[in-house]
Amino acid sequence: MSRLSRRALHHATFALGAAITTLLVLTAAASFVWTPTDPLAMSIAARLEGPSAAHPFGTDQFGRDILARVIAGTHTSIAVGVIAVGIGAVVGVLIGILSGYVGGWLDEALMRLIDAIQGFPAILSALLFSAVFTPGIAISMVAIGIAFVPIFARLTRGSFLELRDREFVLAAQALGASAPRVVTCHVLPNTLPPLIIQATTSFPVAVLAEAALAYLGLGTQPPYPSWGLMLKDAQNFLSMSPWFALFPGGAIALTVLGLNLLGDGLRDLLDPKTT
Amino acid sequence: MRRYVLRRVAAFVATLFAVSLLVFVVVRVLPGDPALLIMGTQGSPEATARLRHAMGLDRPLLVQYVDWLGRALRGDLGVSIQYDLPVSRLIVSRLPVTLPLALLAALFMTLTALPFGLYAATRRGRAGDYLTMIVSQLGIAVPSFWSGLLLILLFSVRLGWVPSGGFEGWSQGLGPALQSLLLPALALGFFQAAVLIRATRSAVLEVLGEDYVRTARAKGLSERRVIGRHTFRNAMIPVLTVTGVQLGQLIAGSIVLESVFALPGLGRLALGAIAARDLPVVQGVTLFMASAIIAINFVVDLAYTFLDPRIRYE
Amino acid sequence: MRRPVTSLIVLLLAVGLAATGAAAAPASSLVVQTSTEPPGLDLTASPASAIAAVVFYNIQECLVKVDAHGRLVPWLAERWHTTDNLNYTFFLRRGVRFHNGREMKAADVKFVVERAMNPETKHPHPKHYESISAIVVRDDSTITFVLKNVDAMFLWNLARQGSVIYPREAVGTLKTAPLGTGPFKFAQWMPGDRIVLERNPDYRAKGLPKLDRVTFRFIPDPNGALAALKAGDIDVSTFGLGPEHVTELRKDPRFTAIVGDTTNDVILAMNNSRKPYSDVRVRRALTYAIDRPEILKGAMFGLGRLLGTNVDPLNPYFVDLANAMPYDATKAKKLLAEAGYPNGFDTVLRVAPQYYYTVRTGEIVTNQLAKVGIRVKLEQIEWGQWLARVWKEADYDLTIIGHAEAWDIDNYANPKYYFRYDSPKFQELYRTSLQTLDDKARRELFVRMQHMLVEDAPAVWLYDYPRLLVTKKGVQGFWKDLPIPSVDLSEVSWAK
Repeated sequence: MSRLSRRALHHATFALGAAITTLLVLTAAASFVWTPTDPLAMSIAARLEGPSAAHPFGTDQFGRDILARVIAGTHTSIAVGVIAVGIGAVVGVLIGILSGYVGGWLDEALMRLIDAIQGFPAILSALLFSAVFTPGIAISMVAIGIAFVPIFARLTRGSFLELRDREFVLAAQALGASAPRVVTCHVLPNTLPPLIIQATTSFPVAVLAEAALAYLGLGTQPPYPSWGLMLKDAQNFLSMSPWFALFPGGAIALTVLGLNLLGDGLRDLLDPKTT
Repeated sequence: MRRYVLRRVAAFVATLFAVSLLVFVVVRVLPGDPALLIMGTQGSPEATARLRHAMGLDRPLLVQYVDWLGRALRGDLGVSIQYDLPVSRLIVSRLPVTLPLALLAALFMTLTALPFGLYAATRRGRAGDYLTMIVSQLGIAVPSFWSGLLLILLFSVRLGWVPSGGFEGWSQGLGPALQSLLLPALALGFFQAAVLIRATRSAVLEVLGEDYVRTARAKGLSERRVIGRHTFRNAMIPVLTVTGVQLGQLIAGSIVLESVFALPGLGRLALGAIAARDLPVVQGVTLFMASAIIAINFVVDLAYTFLDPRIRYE
Repeated sequence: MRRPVTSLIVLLLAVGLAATGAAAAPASSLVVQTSTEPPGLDLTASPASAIAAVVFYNIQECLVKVDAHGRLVPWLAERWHTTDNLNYTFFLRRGVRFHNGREMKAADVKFVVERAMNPETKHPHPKHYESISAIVVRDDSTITFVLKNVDAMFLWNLARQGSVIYPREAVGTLKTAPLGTGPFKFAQWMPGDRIVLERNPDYRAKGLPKLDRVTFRFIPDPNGALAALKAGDIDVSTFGLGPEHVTELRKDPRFTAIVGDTTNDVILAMNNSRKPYSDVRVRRALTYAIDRPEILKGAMFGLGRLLGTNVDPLNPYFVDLANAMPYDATKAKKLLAEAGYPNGFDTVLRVAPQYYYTVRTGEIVTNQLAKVGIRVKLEQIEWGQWLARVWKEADYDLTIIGHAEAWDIDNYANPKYYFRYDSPKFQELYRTSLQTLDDKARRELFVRMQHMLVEDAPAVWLYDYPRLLVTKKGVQGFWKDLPIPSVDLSEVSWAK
């Protein structure tokens, strides 16, 4: 086992973060094939009950099982995080590379575009898009993803500019390697660690942004469960069922915590200063 | 140096143009028909068509953009369809709510983050560090519409210390106005402090690793002296930039909270305008908010440059 | 305050004023919450009910009024008479003053109605005045309307919110500071936050209004409104609280909850021009597949009334047909099979989250239809898009919406309306009803129309959205039912 992996397992933050993240991913995957009960099955007579043997997390305003909905909601949240971060990362990295590599006026123009996009926080963009297209999970993911583009673009570009003048890159170029080859084989692998860490930080931001959009009436479409939507509904029934909010809220908190711990752990492990 | 500043200003202006183009394009692509929205389900098609023409919505897009931009540069952002007031006046009228809210939130954020970040840095790797980081994560894990409601339920309904929402205006005095902004500022600043706590912690750690700090310690200075005099000020530079960036986020975060607390700020204006397809307001507010965020970033950028002589962009 | 002396003077003045104030009777004021801020205050420019909530019957009034029980009563007109049902002569009350002091005259009424009829002024409902061919001013307080044809809705149309009487010189400020004859004057509008109305000291009815000052506060979040009520920041919530909040507040001795009827019919509309909804068997199948009591319980906590057609319980010709086609999943499946869909079909249900109850209802409807094999995809679209795509272009399969206008059965006589329901027999019946003034004959026609709607099932009528009003204990005078969208404050007061 490499030195890095051994260190990783011993690093408490990383281990805990990785454990939680794995739990989330596995739950999300499993929820496609199995949930304790049908998250969509209604039973108005059994609405807003507290935790019980039949419903360990209680029931919602339509009598649906909250445990099943929290589990099913996992894959909504994972999807939001993955796709939003994915969009931000892919587009951002591309722009960052173009900017850093080509330089000159293209760099200036792209950086101005990036600056402009930074003026549109996720919620503002999501509001605008949701008025244009059908509001839903897809639009929210795109809006949140776009808000992530600047940060990934700058990270990549900065990394690129720094590495461009390093010896191993110059050496590769002197040996006649083509530009794309230099980028993919030499520069990108060294850019990856900060990008991965940024991804772990941006992931929970995406999940929370989706919750805010659910509150504003955008985001996930009922009746499919999402933690954000459940939290919003739970507000109306606070006096009737204080339990309602606890479980989706807890799920979000766990996700935020887990991913940030993972990011922190990775940062410590991959930071050249402490290696 | 001067050339650098000039270049940054030019970049800033170019960015603003990009923003205006983005705003106009996105807003004009809205398929909703503002004339239809005003008429609602009960208006006749002819009345709706007449209104559409009166609002100038049937001219070519480029003409509309150039016209709009020209006027915007002169401070004329059009007239709101809902309120029949100039958009710029509407925006200005909402600033006394959103701006103090964002500033107050930034204040709470800084007051929370600095001590906690410092504490976490000095307890690095130990229980205090972990506890701080976990608690701050829990803070941001609570969505703002929940932290807002919980604060209302506790401080307003249960204890009756502050109003549950609304805003009387600054004319009624500093006290009542601040009371209305207290809870939303807390929900924005205190709960969302995690990012700034982390930034403070890393900045302090970074500085603590510097040579001059080691020298100070070697000289036998007390820990307090080391941190207070030598570390703090230099750590403030990156913290300042993060605060500046967060201010932009706070302005955006106020959109949700202004709904929870029924505050007549920019966020509410934007939400209402989008729902009512009040195009001039949507364009104006979005342009303003985006420009404000970019302006803040620009100022912070410059400040950072002046403060830290080691940094120069090529 | 620039100098301490100034502050001192102000302080003394304030103390002095407070002292005199204490000697006089305390001003009676009310803070009323509603969820939507009106898009302007001009009732003649927009049909929005948010405007009516603030202005209608408070600032501006009509010749004729719909009272709390849904009856047409004389208002600015003292009485009227007609001999041939084509010429209506109204005798206006004398001494009625506008808020600017000027006396209301017949010429004002003529101006108002002609302006409404004029296509240039963009009035939302010019068709309400279609039957008027001429308006003749006889003297300052007598005016005659000459109709082209007998119109059973003529008087009612004069009582609607678009027919308010205002002074002609105030046309320019209708949107921002309307003038009228009502018990309250417009005082102040702080955009985004509140509108303040003040007592009209020259109101013609002595003793009214009972309140000196009313503040409308706009709180869009229902939980914010609930908190404001509990914290004592508002005295009344007229709109915005959900049925779950009202259910909770009913048990609270500090508050009084009023649950009444409105004219808002919540329906599941089907696109009659699109398959499979063009087949009446499918439409009836959906009607049988919907368990209305369960929807009322699930979405509205049992508040509201079940509907069988598009006529609300406040309408004088209402027939309770809610049980004409009760829930029967077996029948539904049979009808679907007959129509050629033994395995159900897929369809899309569009709702606008602006109206929370349509979303909740949509979730339950989706669940119920799934049990008979109809797989529904629930789609939330923004209100502007709903108006453009569903209402204007009829680009939808199913949708859920509340139709808030009184007498809106006329939508079914319009084949171009987004239902796309085209029944010449129904249209004939409706046309005749417009020309029938004899109450008994008219009732007969309305009963037949309602039965025809049940037969043809162009939509599934779900429930009448209730009036959910909660006040602090001690506030009295609010209407129980809302036969017309308004928040009539003239008789509201604090109990001693």
